[in-house]
Amino acid sequence: MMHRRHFLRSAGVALGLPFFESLGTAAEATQPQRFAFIYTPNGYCQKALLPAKMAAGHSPLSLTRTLEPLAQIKDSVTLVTGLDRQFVPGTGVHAQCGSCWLSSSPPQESLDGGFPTNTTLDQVIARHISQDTVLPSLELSTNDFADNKETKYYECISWYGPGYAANAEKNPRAVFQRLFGRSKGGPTHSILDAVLGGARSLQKRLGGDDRAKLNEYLESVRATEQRIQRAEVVAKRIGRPPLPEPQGIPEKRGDYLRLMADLFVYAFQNDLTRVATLMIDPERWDSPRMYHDLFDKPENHHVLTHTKGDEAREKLTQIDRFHMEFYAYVVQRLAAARLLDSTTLVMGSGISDGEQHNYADLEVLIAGGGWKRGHFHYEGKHPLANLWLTLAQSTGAPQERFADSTGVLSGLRA
Amino acid sequence: MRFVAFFALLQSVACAADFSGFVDTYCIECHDSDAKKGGLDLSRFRDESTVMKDREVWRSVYEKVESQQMPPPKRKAKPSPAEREALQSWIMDIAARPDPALGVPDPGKPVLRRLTRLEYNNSIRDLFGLPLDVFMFAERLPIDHKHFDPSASTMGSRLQVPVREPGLKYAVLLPDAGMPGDNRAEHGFSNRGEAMNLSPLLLERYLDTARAVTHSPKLPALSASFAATISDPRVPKRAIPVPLEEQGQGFTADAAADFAPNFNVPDEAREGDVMMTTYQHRFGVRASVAEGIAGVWDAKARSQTWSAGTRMGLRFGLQQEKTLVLTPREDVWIAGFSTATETSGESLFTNLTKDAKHLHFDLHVEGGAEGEGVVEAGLCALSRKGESGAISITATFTDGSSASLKHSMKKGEGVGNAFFGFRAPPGMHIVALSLNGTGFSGSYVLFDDLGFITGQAAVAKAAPAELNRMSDRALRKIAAERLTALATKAFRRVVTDADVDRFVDVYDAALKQSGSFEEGMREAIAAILTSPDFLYLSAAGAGRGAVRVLTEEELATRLAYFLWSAPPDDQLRTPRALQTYPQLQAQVQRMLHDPRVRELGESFAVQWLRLDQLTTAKPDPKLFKAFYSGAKNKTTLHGAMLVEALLLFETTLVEDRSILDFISADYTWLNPGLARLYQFESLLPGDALKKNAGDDSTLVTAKNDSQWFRVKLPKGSRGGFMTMAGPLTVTSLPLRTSPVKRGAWLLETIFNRPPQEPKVAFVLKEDDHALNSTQSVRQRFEAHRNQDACFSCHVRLDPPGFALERFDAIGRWRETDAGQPVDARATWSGTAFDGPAEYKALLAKNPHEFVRGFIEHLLSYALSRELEVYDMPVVHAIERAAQAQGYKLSVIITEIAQSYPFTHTRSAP
Repeated sequence: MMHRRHFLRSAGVALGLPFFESLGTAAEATQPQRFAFIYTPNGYCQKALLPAKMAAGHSPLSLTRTLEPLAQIKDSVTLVTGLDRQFVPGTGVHAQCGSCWLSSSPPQESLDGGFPTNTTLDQVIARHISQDTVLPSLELSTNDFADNKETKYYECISWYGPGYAANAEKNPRAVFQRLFGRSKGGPTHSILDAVLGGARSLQKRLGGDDRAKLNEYLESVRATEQRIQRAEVVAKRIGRPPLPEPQGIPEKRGDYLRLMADLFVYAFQNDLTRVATLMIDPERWDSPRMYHDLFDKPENHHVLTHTKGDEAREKLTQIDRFHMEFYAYVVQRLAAARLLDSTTLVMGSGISDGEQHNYADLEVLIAGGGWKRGHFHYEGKHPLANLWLTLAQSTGAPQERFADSTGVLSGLRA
Repeated sequence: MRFVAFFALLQSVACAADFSGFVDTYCIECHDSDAKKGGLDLSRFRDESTVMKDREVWRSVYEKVESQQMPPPKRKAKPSPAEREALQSWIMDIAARPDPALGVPDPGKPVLRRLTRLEYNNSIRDLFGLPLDVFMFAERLPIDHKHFDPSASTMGSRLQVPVREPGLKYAVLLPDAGMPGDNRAEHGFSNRGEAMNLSPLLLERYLDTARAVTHSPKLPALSASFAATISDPRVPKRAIPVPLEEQGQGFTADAAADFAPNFNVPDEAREGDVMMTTYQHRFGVRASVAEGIAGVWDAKARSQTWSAGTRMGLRFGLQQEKTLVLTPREDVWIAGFSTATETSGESLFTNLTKDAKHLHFDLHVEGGAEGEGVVEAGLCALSRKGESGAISITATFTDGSSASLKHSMKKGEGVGNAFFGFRAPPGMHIVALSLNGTGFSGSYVLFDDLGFITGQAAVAKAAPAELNRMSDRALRKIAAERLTALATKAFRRVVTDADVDRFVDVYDAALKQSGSFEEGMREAIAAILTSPDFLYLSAAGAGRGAVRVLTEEELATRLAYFLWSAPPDDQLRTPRALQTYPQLQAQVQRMLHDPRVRELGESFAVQWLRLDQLTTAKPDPKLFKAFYSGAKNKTTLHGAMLVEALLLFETTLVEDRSILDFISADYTWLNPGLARLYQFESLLPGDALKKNAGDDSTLVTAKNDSQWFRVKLPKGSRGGFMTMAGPLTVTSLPLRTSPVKRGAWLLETIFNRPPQEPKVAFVLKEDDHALNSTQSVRQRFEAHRNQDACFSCHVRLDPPGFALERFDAIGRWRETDAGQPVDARATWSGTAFDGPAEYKALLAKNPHEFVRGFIEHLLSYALSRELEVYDMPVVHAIERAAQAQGYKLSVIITEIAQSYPFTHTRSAP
């Protein structure tokens, strides 16, 4: 179910502000590439998502019950199934679903106290295509649970390096302010100079590991300085922000998700960043949440995956469909903003079957330009990292391997 | 005599035994280089020097052998208890030895760690001496902590612990600011260094928050030290407004903090103008009182005449330094009425002259900040037996405009008490209130509880008439001196000229931009608050030798963040205050009696027991009606469950009781709601469930449920954390209990031996259909655990879970589950038991596992790091000291504070 009014409004704004056209001929010719990764937790209900019969190779996309909401965007979307990730023993089954989805690190690469976190695909791509934008990458999350029930491994999909999680912003208002906020004036540059000086002086007094920890601070100051400088330049170009400042987290789940997507689409549109990640919900977290207009009381996604019976399976399918509807919204939103051809929009989960905690046979959706349409199914062992390598190479990055990749999925490129 | 005697002490553990005999007999068959079961190869340890190179392995050997998980129970050849003990004491000896690379025992790596959100808040709070939090954050429990008085030696038997409704705003410096929360560390606390990152996003938030703090218009009013630091030295000192004295005609009284505390205001006036405040106002007053900008006149006298034109001064403010002046135009009567129910106390105010049902009050603020006046006001009109009719109230604003509200009063005492609330338009004040009861049938129109909140209207700030002359250089020197003083406190160390120069640069830049000295100081202070020296705790600076004793500053900082989650105060920072063990012990004693020690309960204990997850527990409203009450199930037992557990920890702390109470105390704290859940109403004193005539039932519950009673428990029932409703609910699913979750919680919390993560991505079947099943949870569970792959782990995980099956998913005692009698029998460490009481008795009889687990948790929290093999003897020593002194909590805390790893650090990583 599309929220027509919302969609039209967004589309209207998008058409009213064709930013790249206004830049003139040079920019028109080469639209920059963009990537967005959307993560849904706890796998998908396999029975409702996959067609009854699957054979290795390329086939037309069949709109199964879960995929029905993609009907309108069928010609823009690719389903990849049968890719595998290696489970790293000794750390939680859910902890590494999300944290390792985009790193795909195999057990031998677990440099973070046993956790296979590493520089994630979005960061690898950002370093290649988004270094000169206001924000090299934009990390978003719609995990609005207030308790700190789980460790960071459950709610971070973007990592700068082993153990170094990129914090995701959860509040749309704060995202807006970072993207379109006006400088609050004051001597921000001299404050940043002062704290950078302090950090350098502290660094001299520290030992090796602590220095690495303090590097997080130094890098953050530099990144902030850069963002502020670039934002000042960009602010003149953009003029008025393309949407009113959000007041906070919308009450309804669907509105919250769509607002966050709108924000990264606007960021792409104004070339404030070219890489975004959105964690729809954290792994496990065992707290019920409201899915408005879906169920009349809060439901616990994780518990549902381990509940027997048709009723639970039906609820899971509803949740999966809810996320598919959202995915279709983002695709249409990108299309209306004339960004779809230059964007690769990926959605997936770190496990396939949530009940079995299956790290193999993962499902990934890809929309955007440059990819063949339909359903690609792989039998046997095919690392998920092969897909990530394929995406990384599509940017022209000189990446020969990614995590445990064994090659690219050449059939996928259009 | 600083802390030197430790190396020798640690090495005096038992002498080495021949470990290879034990390994060859019992281990090597599975753990040699070929079989390498579980990835463990013990054949590579040929002698003690190879052992010393990788001691961490032997810590897990110790644990497996001690818990009798290894050698596997089914093997024929079993080591005798003496053999086990010999191996364990050999490993303990290995753990205590000097680190081969350091030449002395390892105190652990120096830890550089960012402040947690709680510590960050507290650090800014204490830096400026604020009476409230800087911003709202989820770890701040929704509990009014006035009940907690650690300077007393007893918690008494009766406490008032009001719980804030979830999501309700409370008084903070920056209501619109906030920081992202911290994730907990794997099997640890959120203060662990490596679990915390800093990203550009977070740095920007630190910068924004720092500038919001230093630019807060409230801060100079709340913090005299901040006001003094930023004040322009060239501005001639202003005369401080003189508060109203008791002079001539008029009288004064102290404003109350609570608005309508009798909880009996069912109605709210809605008819009339729209710019009004809502009944939530009642709570708004209390929050604002904490900021020093609000109060309530609760009409106390039994019979008093207040003559027309006489000023009444109502003192309010953080130091009662301000006065709200009320002047009536008619004679007012303050009295008690038997035909009405007051909203506070037992008195109300009304017209003195019979049938003159009109009262008009002029109001203004004296002694406050510039431009301070009443911006919100509210009061209650009281319904009366046999009388009814309309009452209207009009508020007049600074510009002469006004707004009115009208309400039809119901007949009957108390049943129709109605709230009237007003908010001034932006930039204006409320200067008068007119109370009109001409439409009311009685001869007297009755009111109670006039509450007010003040604010500063935008008054054009007059430029100072003249500035004292001062050279830029002299001005800059003053700025530098003030910044030095502030940075020293903020950085918890002596600052260098180079440090201060950086902030003076910021001052220069801001001064140049704005031309204002104050603005320069605000920006420079924002830079201090964004500095790594403020945001990170470190034991930086290499000393001589491989290991060094912490400096006094470092030790003071470590102590303060351990016990208070806050920076050291002036006493701790006094030079030579922490030079000897007796001094250290004395400081710990002092700190344990300071109110800030509440964070040990609210942060450490809450995280330890996982009570921070209680708020998201949502028992099914149909199955667990008892958990919910009030309109739309809005009132829940979340708060009560949290308070019960917190009070046990706090009582142990304040009364310095044994930590064995955490396992099985013979008492607990109950409020009426929890007593009902436990079916312990009979344990409460007779007046606990008192109900006033005319009281609305949900409001009565709210009022009564903030009353807590210490009760002695019947033998063999509740007592201790694991049989409290809070932990039992946290570890349940919305529809049913989960023995696995309870077992895992117990192993992790009580013993600090969390179950191992499975080596395969295994399947845990959680069947939710409690409603239609005829099998008990336990029956369905047995089917699962009897599978071979699952049994070895579940043999340790399950017994505690089964014992607790006596309690349902919200902690109620039960005899049956799904129609089947509850089977709570199992075996623990070779001894059979039935039910939670017997299980707790088993633990209490041999408390070693629990005591060690607790010490490890607290030590890990104190050090902000994971414990390592070399910490084993430290824990062991603390356990022995605790045992010798009745397991008193203060003994454990003091032992941790003077332990080797707490007082020492490696000079290099």
